[in-house]
Amino acid sequence: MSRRVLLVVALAALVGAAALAQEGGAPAPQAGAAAAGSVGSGLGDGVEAFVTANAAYEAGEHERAIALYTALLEPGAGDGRLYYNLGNAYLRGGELGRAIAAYRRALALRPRDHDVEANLAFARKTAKDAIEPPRPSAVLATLVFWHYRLSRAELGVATLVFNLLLWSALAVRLFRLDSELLRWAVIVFLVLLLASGGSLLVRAVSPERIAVVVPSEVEVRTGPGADALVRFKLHAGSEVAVREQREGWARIELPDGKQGWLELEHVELVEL
Amino acid sequence: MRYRHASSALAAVVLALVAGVAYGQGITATVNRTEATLEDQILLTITVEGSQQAQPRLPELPDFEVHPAGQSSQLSIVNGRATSSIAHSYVLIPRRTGTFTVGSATVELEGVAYSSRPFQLRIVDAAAEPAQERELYITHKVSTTRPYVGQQVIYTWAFYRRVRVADARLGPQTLDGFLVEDLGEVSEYQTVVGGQQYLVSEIKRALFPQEQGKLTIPPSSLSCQVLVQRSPRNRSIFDDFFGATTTQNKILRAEAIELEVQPLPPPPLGFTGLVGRFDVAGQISKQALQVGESATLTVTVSGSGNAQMISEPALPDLTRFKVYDDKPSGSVDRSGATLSGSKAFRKALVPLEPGELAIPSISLTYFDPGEGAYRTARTSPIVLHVSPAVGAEDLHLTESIAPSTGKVAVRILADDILPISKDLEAVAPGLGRGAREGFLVVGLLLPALAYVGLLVGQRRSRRFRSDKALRRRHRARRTARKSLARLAALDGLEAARQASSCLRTFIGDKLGLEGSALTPDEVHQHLVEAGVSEELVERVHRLLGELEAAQYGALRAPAGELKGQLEELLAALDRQLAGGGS
Repeated sequence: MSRRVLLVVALAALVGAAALAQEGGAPAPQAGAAAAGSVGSGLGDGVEAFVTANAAYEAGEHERAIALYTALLEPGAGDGRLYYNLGNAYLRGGELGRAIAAYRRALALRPRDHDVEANLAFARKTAKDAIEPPRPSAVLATLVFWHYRLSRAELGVATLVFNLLLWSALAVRLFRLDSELLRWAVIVFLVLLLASGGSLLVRAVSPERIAVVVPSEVEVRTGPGADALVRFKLHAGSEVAVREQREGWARIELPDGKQGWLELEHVELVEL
Repeated sequence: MRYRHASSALAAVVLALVAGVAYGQGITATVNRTEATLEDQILLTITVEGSQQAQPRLPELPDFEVHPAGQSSQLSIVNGRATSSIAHSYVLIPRRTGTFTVGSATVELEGVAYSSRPFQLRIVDAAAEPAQERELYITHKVSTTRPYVGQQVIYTWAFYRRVRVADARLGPQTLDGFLVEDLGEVSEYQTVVGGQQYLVSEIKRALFPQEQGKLTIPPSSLSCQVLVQRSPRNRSIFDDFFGATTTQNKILRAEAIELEVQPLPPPPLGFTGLVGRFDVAGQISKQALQVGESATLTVTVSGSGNAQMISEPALPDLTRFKVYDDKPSGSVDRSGATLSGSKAFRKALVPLEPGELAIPSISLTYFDPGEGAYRTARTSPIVLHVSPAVGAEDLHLTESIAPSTGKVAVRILADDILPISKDLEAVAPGLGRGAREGFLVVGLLLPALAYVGLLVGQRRSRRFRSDKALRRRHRARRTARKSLARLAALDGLEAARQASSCLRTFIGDKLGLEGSALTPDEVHQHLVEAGVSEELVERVHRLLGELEAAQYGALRAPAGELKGQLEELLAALDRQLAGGGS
């Protein structure tokens, strides 16, 4: 009976993982086929809007393409490719800040997509301010590479898989099949689970926020309020780290440590 | 300052008490000083007697900046009469010099209007004080008040002081119509003015007027706190704890500076907007070379003035060379007393034919504001001695541009974004955010729960294996059901024996006894001890007696009915023995 329970659990966890993976960058072939099938039957609207939006983009109707892509991007159900296309539409439409924000969102969902990276780099070249976008330090980026190189969905799948492996290894040990190898497997799975789960938790609890400047020029003030002094100015497309948010204002920090307050209506906030 | 404030407030309160005894209600206005300079602040205190909520109306004070500085209320009882008062404080910052009358402050109490007595304030110019008496002041000046458009004007701002100051803040100053470059850091030095030694902080800026006509450098202001040592006479016992210094707010001002910017005369051909003093120099890396070899020509433009605007001077016609551009390099120096800079433009020149090839002089036209005229600087002509190529006649490309293998690095001619994605999976239905989180939680918990289930199951089976009585107890019902199944096939004597054995074995298993050896009376006794209800024990006893009797006579009930009866009995026993603490 207990073996049957194990099997059910394993299947459930795998289904969960597959469902999460489909959300992420690299869906399994079966999942993809299933999705395409259901598109044909019930959800033709999305496909139609997507195809229309692509056609509008190629015909140069960027405004319309933007509206269609935005409508497809229901909150919480965004696909990296849609954000990528939206970024292209914004860039062609001359909205550099929104384009960069869309590319950043696309990159958060598809962290290793070279097309997104290339277009983001192109867009950044046209930004006016000579400031580097916020980046993790080289040490952090190397030490906890998975935190920066994997999307949230991929981290979720990794966490589920390591969780399943850990408990499976522990279960095997219950049946007195204990060995040195198994003990090490438990330790390794535990470490991997803590790494992926911890990363997921950190991103859920305190996600990194960046603000992308939308208008051609904005004033960064010494405090949150229109009567505070203007400290410096930023231009469209500049990406800055957000340290705090308060009543429609965000405290931002440049890579060189300069800080100031920006009105939220002038920026697009991107949660990574 | 704070000390004086306190003493004047005290004086006002004392006065108020006296007035309160006489009138009970009224309004007084007091200041901590009636003579002040433009740099000082005056504390105005308006005290209303007879109310603690009254809001007095201030007189018009167009010659002062007025800032509220808090309020304090007081209730005192003198000779059994209670008087209440409220004092509102304001800081007045003088705007101009002269003698001003401060009008009446008014208040209405219980329908009666009261007004304070007007008084006069005399404001003198701080600069009117002899220089050696001024403890601190600011100045600003420009190197010229009649610059040309684009000419470098050095703006010097300085803060002189011979007292200790804290919290110095420069007021905002916007320089419209100028391009502004900061020159160096703030410099601090000591100097002697009028026999007094001052500490000076100095800021220098290079201003470049961008339009002709009148331009104004707005007034500069600096607010700071002067640390004042209290005189020993005024010291109190607390000063030993809280230090013997007090602070005094000061606002220092410097007047606006007017500039009359002159237009540049009509420019000659080749003028690129440089104003100042500039020079141009040409240099060649080698003068003797072969056809096809490359030499680097460096044209350096340097000088002081609007050096940010240095652009490449026009090159003369170099038809006998192949010319390759290199990246220009330059720097602007802001650390000196003026803004200066230089920029070097490099060209790789490859001669196409042998002989004496000349590079004519290169000229640079700029406007010299010192002389008020355009000037032209020139490089001296350079002559190259080019000998015929020794090896093959074909041209080598320059080393800096192509590797010697003859391969050319790929150059990007134009760049554009990559096309959109048309992958229909982009709109494939995915999980919502909530569903994804749900999956994650379930996926994380399920294996753990399964593990716990497994653990509990294993513990139980281990206990069963080691505890025989427990195993018997646990399996009693199943064993009984098996033997009951056999009952249907039997009849008569055999059925009665089988039923009796089944019932006794079940009870024995449950109670940890050898069931088949028990007599009905023993069964009765054990069941009573196990806490089974009287009625049920009686039924068991009766049935066992009947079955025993049946073994010697005929069974009254048919086997089917017996089976049902037994099943019901077993279920009831099972329930009571499980709950009764077997």
